Amino acid sequence: MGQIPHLNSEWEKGNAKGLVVISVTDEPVELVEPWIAANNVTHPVVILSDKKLEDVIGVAGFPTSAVFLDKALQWKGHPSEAGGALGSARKAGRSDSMYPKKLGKVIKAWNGGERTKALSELYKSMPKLEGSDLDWAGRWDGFMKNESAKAFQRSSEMIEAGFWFRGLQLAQPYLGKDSEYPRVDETRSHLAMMQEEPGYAKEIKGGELYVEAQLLERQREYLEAFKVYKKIMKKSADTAIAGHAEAAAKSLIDGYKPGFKETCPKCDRRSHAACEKHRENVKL
Amino acid sequence: MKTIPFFFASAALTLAAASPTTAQEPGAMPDFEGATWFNTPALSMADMEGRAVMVEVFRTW
Repeated sequence: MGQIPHLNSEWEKGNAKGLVVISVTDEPVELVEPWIAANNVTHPVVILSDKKLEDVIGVAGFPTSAVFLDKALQWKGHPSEAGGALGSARKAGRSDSMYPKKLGKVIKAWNGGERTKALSELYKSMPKLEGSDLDWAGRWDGFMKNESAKAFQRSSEMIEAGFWFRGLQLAQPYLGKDSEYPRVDETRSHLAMMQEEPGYAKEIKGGELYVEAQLLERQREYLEAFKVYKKIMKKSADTAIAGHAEAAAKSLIDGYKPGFKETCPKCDRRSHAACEKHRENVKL
Repeated sequence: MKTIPFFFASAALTLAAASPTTAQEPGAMPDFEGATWFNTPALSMADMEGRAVMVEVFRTW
């Protein structure tokens, strides 16, 4: 997991100069998608349910890195040792971007999270494209529309489950001014109906804090996360998000997590249960 | 640049002798058929032609 910023950076700096960076797993979408969002992964990730690529590389543990040049394996090993092989492959490999230069604005907007702008830039550039550039434009068009459909679907599911703020967060990038994504009007009208609901402001405020608490949990700051969950229960009382916060806080207590210290040899590094000395006696 | 290990080279010869229709050479990147992609439109083998590709095999746990 510590490799993500490095891989993101290699991709962001290198893709315009011909490099391709891919993270590969065989795990289900239900695990991979939230993992990508939680870790801000910006480089390409692929789920390969067969193990052909892993067999070619000879994976013996995770993570394992491999460097290919023109589809032929050049090196494999620990990610921290990939530098030399990668440098050689890059020198020998193509130096032009895999994506067409003419789609530069589209890709920049997409990678910068400007989803509405990315699609309008694509439609602006499409009439001027031909050959493989036009083929790539079609691939990006399909990809972006598919992503928007997934985001709207997920948004609707989150709202249904009582995570209003998260639902809003998922849909919003595709709902900018003059958005050309499918189902924009329908999604906007669902969100407008949600805003009319009593307790909307409390749900949203509580939802913002819930996201903050989840981040603290990921950083293993369980005591701080617990405090935020309690704050949600107090400030957004009688809302769906307060119910989720209570369940999350209870789960922290049940797992003895508040007070966990990574540097303590007696705290359980697997379950993140704090040892008796560090355990915080927190109550709901 | 490091070369492909001897094992791969000898295995390639063995396979070539045994089966003239071998679809894939050892050490060669297999295709991504049926793959699910994130952060990019689906990539194909043709997209990798002539390029340096850094692959990291990971698990979310």
